[in-house]
Amino acid sequence: VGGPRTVAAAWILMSASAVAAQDPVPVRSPERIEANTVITIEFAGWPQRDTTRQKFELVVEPELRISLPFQLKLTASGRARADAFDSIEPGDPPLAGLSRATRPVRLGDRVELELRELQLQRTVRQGVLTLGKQQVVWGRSDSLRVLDVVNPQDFREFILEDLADSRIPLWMANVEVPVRGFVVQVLWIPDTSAHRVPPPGAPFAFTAAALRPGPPPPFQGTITLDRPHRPFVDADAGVRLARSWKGWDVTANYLYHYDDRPIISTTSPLTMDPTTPTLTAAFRRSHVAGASFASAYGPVALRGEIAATLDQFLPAKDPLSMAPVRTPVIAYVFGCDWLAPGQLLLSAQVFQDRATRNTSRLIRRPVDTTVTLLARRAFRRDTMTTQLMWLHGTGFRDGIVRPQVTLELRDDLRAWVGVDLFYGPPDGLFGQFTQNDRLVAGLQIGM
Amino acid sequence: VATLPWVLSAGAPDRFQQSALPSGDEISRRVHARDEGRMMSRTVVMELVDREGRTRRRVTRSFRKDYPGERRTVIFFLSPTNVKGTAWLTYDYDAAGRADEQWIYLPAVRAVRRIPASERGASFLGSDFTHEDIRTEAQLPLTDYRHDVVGEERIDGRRCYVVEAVPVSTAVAKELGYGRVRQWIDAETWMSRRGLYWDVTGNPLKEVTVQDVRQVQGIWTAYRFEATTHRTGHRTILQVSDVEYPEALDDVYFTERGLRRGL
Repeated sequence: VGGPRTVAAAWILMSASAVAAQDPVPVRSPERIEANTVITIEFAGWPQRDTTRQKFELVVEPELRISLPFQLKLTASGRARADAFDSIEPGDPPLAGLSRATRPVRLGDRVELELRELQLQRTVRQGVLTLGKQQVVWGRSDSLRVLDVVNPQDFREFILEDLADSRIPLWMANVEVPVRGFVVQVLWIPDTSAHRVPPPGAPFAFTAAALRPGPPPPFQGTITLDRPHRPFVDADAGVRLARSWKGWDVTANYLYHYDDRPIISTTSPLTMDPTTPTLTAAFRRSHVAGASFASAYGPVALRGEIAATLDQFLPAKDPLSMAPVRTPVIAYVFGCDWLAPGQLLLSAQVFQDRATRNTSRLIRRPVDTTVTLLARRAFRRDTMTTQLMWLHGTGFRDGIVRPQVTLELRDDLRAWVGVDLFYGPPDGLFGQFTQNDRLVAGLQIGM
Repeated sequence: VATLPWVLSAGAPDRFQQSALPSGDEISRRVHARDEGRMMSRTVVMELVDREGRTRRRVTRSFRKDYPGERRTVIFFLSPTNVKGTAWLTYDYDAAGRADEQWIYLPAVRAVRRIPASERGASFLGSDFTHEDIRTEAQLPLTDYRHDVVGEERIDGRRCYVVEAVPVSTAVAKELGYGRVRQWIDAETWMSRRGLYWDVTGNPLKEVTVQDVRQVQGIWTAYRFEATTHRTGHRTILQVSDVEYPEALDDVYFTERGLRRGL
């Protein structure tokens, strides 16, 4: 059971030793310190309806980069978020899914401070070793994740935040080295943090039967989260092989990890007696094997990825048994980006997620298909960008439409306005949020 | 009115020595054979100035390295903050018919993306230069143009050949966005000192000047490029600094992990 973790840790230790033994490469950037801060003010909601004001927040994101002797580079970034409404995650949000080292600091109900990244990086000849809190992105898709499973995700705003903002950086060791025509990346991740899911009552709390993290109403009990916490024994480990082959960028990926979605299970049938239930939500080990590819032919880029999760535990139909259904799940996406005449970017993706065993016992459909379309064009010498994004689930015929206009007012001053419009039945991934249509307006200043 | 001096100066090259001049193709070959160094690093400040004088500024640090059969170039964006960390990698192949390959690292998604090729004649980042201008540093590819020498003139006291280049076909003209180009090629450095560009319908489009040419490690190097689009009065200035032609350049710069690592 400990094999992949042990091999990953050993590989990284060997690489670290090699790094320490290398002479510095002569042509490198000089020692220097860079600091910058991005300040964002964003409103989301419908102004005329008090009940749907989701957020009016101030986000301050400082970043510090220090180039040190011996090819070392230190990067630190943080995020302070203050929200006037306290609506996105009302009250004190549950953070038990995050490790203590990763958990943000809450100052009351409306202010949150978080160390986003703290990493020490060393380049050695053709390789890069990165230690610390970081994001590692696998896969090549936009908006929805297939192979991008290394970091968990914060769903406080469903999938409406940029992925770089919603991914939860983890403490890990990450080494990438070229070996015989491949680039081998090995990850050892002692940080056992999982997805951050909005609490019941939050605007983006999952309510669709297949996605709801707990039992259906009228459940009144409590759920305690049993998160793995032993840094070595419970560590995740992953490896990626990447190479260029006849103009295609291809990767093969493998991750041995805890699924970031907890599963509630009981050995005895669940009764709806509100005095009884104290349920435990536990995380299960899983193997994810996958691959990705990308290439470009003139104005067209093609990309895709596939991920097979060998043991996924999914909610069962029978609400009383609470015994999860164990099944392999294969997910894949194929995408095409076309830079059309007039520098109009048109991008389409087809996602499919397929459970392969015990499908009759699942709440979810055995096959979920989501199609995404994006059209984006810049005007006025790239100072105005218009964008229309559409995500559509074919199973429930639900989706979201997101038009947006962004203006670059000055070099370091941007403003944007857009709307997020959901449609579809309440059991759909998007349809569950039809009450959350919102206007979004923001201003961002860089310093 | 603003274009009048430009039209007059463009229309009167000195033709009396034409018989002694090298051919347009010969000049073009010399331009392309010019020593550019096998490796190069430099900082470029790009200023975009509109007719009212409003200025936008981008700072980049770029690296170039020639490999057998290909040239690799990477551009790291240093400022402003909203593009800082963005990195753009291009593999430009010598082989005819083999398309360039491009990748971009966007800090907003923390990922490297394979990107489709931009239209050659499309504006580069909203500037007055096209993608092709930036890629070739305003050299006119031999395969895209027919070159004719039409005279010689002096610019800033330097002897220049005046070369008129016309795209080889209407399709190429549309692709490049130019119906005709006249360039003043320095007879000593074989660098373009000035270029006038007409659009595909024959209207004056823009002027590009190359100034502050110096020798760095024995290689002629331009430190300032300026392009002005006549219809809008919009200008783009590329101010170059910290130029080096190193003997060695880390290959990791020209890889996906190099893009993610940044400077």
